Amino acid sequence: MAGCSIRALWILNNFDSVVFSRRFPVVERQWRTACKAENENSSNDNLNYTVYPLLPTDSELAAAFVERKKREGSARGFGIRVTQSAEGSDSWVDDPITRHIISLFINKDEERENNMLWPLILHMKGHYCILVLPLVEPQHLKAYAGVCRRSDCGNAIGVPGSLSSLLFDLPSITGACMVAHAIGDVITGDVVEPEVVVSASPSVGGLLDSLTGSIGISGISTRTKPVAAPVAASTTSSTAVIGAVTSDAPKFGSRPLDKDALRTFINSSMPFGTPLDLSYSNIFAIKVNGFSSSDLPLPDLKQPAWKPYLYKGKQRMLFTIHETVHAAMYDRDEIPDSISISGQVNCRAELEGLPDVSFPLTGLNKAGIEVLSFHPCAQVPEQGVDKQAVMFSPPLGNFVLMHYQAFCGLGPPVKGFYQLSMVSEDEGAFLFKLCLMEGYKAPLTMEFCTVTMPFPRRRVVSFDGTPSIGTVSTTEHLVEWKIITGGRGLTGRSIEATFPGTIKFAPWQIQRLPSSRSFLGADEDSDFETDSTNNMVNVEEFLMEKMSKDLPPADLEEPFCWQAYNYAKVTFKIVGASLSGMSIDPKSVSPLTCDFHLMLKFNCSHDVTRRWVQQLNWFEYGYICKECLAILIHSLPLTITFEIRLFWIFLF
Amino acid sequence: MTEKPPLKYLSPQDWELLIEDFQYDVVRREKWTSHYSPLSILDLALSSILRKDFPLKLSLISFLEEFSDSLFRNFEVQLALDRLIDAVRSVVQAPHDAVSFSSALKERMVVAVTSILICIGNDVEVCLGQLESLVELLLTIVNRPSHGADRQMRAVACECLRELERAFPCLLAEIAGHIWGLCQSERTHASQSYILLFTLVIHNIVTRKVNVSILNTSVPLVPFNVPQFVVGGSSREVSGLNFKELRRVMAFLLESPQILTPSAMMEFMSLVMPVALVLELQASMLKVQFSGLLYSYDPMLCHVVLMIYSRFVDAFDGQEASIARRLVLISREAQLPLVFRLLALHWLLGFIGLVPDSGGRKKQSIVEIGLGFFYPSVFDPLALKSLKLDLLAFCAICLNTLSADNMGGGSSEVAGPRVSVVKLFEDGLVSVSAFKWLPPWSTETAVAFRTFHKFLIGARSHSDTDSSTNRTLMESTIFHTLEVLSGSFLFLPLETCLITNFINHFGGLSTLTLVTTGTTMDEKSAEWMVLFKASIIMPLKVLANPV
Repeated sequence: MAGCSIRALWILNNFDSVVFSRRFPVVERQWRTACKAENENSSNDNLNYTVYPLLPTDSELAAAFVERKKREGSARGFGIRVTQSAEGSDSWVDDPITRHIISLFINKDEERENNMLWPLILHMKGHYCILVLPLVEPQHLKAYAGVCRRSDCGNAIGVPGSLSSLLFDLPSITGACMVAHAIGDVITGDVVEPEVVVSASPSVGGLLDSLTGSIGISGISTRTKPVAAPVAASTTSSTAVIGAVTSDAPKFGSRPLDKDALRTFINSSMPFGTPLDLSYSNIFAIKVNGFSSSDLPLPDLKQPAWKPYLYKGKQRMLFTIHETVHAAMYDRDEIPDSISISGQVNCRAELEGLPDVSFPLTGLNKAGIEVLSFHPCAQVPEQGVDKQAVMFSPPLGNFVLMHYQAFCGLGPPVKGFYQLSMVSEDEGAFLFKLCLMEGYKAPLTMEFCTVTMPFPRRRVVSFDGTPSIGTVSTTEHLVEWKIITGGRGLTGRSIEATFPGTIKFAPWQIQRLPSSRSFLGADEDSDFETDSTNNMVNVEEFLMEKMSKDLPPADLEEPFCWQAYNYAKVTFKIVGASLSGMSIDPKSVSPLTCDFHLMLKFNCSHDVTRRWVQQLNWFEYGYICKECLAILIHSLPLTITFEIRLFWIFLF
Repeated sequence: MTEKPPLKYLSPQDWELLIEDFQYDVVRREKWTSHYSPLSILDLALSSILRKDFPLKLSLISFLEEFSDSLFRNFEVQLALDRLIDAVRSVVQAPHDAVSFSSALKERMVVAVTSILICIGNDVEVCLGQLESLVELLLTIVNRPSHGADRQMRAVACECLRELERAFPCLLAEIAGHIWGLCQSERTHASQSYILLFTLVIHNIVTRKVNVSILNTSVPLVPFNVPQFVVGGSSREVSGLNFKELRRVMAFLLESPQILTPSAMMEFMSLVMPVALVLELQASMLKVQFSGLLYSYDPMLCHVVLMIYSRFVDAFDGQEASIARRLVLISREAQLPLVFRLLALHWLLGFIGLVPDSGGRKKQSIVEIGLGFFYPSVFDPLALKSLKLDLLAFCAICLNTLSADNMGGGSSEVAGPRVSVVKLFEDGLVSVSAFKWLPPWSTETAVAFRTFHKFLIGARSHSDTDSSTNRTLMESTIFHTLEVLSGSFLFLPLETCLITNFINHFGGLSTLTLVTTGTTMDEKSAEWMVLFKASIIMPLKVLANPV
């Protein structure tokens, strides 16, 4: 069974031109050898199918990529089988993962049957498409070609040769996905280490610079390439804080491709095409700092490959708990709100030598943890975590010690009501009634809270209204309400905030659907319910009718069609404790005491309307599931009224 | 082709253009090869690399590595390799200079020359001298374990030796003892490369059953001679390996995984498992040591455990449910990129296919896990929802089978599961129920109808335990009819508001299904019809005839 080797990789820009490519001849030689053996035996093969032994040139690959894009509707493809899906193509397989693991037909015009290149991992980052081609056996390629021509769609579970069986048997695909993501981070400069917050105290010293200096790697703080800011300080300005927490937003700037950084990364991480270490921080630290004769290894222990340098200096450990809350709230007595938490414990262990650290997990028992996953440096016993303690040997720098998914003990930090009602085709009245931090006691502090109402398909012309607290600003496609701003946090009490107002939009213009509409089988010239305007009983119905005509289908990567809803996003940050109940007892982390700081991020949705459910004349056919209720609540028919489609999202 | 003198010096700009043309396509490549012979391009490249002030050294090295294979003709191979070996020796032995001969340049050069030799020196006998020279140079580099400054270079040299050993199996078999010694002595972070090299040497010795003593270091490390059995292909196979020595080696190797990166761990395990099989090591040993990796958030480590499972299925007897549960939990980790969450569910499906079924326990477990974990959640991306709905459809198949088994056994617990199949569908479809009011081209609609198709077909076609019947059904007219409906027809009538036709087709379709599968409109089928009409047709009526 093979591990993971990469035959080649390509990076394409948004004009579908190859801007970087790298082939690994040693791996390619293995592929050709395997092809030769396979093709020699293929005379006895029922498929009578020869595999394509050569790698395409950049122009051939770009042409094949463009051809697929046309055939499959977009760079990623349909993902599921639709009218336009051609037999033999990815979407014929009818599996969403074919938007990430794709095939290309090289020189398709030549009508050869063996020109399929698979599996290509497609990762889109910034303006770039990264394609990584791992080595598989020719028989796997043949199996996939067979899957692409099966009459039955979707997963044929338990059937040999199914897509799932292939993905199970091919760790090289998993490895190639990791490579693609690592390269994506390198080319967009998005290689930031997890954030570890440090309390401002004299013992911490001069924060970033002194901390990096204390790592013991001379010159590491002089890096010019994008590497981790090792520690973020809690004393940074609110702007910096906001910037830090919103760093999840894609960095889509016009950053040119840093080919030198890319070559350095590839040459070191996989010199022959077999990945050895995908940690950009380590690779770049070695490139910049090198090693000297005075860097002596420990006398009795082998230094791990993931820890090329040993720490020297004052010893301490830092932990930060970081949580994001996903919530669906219904404002209905008979339906409980659903709140779940994605959390992680970030760690920075400044410890000399190679010590094992025992990390207590007692906090987890209280926290209602559902899923728990650890950094590779943790030693998890065979049966999984016993929820007492976990041992780990920390790497250098900041790292995520564990991820967890948990249920929430507290109520939502922002509760409320939002309603938007269209009084004419281009004018609406809205009302916000919010309650912040209800039931939240000190030390929990809300540092900032901002509500935005995005209108991606309407242009805001004017706006009128005054909130009871905070300030309001507008741009072309959104209204932003800053309830709590930096510097004045909210601690130990709750506040109520209301915001009534009206908003006027530019006249609605028919927008041509993005071509994606036709991907799912719609004829762009079709006249979907065109003559129904005469039957409209109110302006909102009429408006919804018009707007739904060019409502684009949601990407399969989205949870639902955002543009079908009016919603408000609430971004806020709370510090002081974890919402899940996750905590760390500094005294019980061995071998040293630790300093820890807590930070929360929230991502909640709240549907606040009560009335609409009664108006929903087909509600009796709805199906209610505890976990998925929100979708039912959100899935209001366009043909009823506008205000009942309210959908309140708190996003961070 | 004749040499075309004189050789024109190529400026850095020329080289950039040349590299771009070579990468672009064959036509632009010929623009250069018609003016320069391959050897002259090589000479020009090497002289530029050896110059002190040339700025594109690394790019040139990559170019040579990528295109040597297609550049040199057979009669040029030896000459090219001679020049390359001389050049790499000069670069490696040049005094360290951060600008002209940096560590990165030296490392890149040995990698490139190794790669070129492997690719163009297919015939060992032809390139014997060059191969020995290169191996000797690399062995000289690695033979300084735990020294300070050149640790990264040693790691790279180990990787080069590993690729040579991979290309020419058992090349280093006779010096395995020395490599083991170096492996034990190396304590810097480079030890990973030493361990991987040694593991591959052992792997090749074991899988090719080469009779060498690993403890014996009588053959010197340098000067290096390619073993005769590699050159001439003469067999050195014996009936048995030295199991005692090899088990000792394995004990040493299995102590080391905690120092490996996740990528290296995957490579390590892919080499160790075949050895463990040949040596008949206890699978439980591997299981105890590596099963915990499934609880890592690194997908490569999770896949390593699955690799072990697929090789040693029996060793995991009784733990299948916990592995399956863990895989589905991985898919719930919102922090993971979507592709890995999707992969986790595919692994689960692949895993289910591998797990042996004993007395229906497997299906029971799937149902139990499914009811607890397969329902999509609100913020799951639609792709993940779609796959989870597939899994629910699979649960429905299992429930049907269990129900049929119970019925055959005269059990009275039939009603429960049967109700649950419908409930699975109902509850599952809630996650995309926006399709009822979104336009027909919405993704939610596509996912919902796809799910309906799977439930309907899955429950029918898989209700028979006979797999051959299933296959027949897969190829049946009804299957294709449904496929056409789900793949294309569904959207067309919606698009043109031909709701009536749509309902008629689906009404007819359901009847047809029943006829084809040889059953009458029994209670269950009627239930499906009610369900179908409730979930799909009624909302469509609303859509077609807004109040």
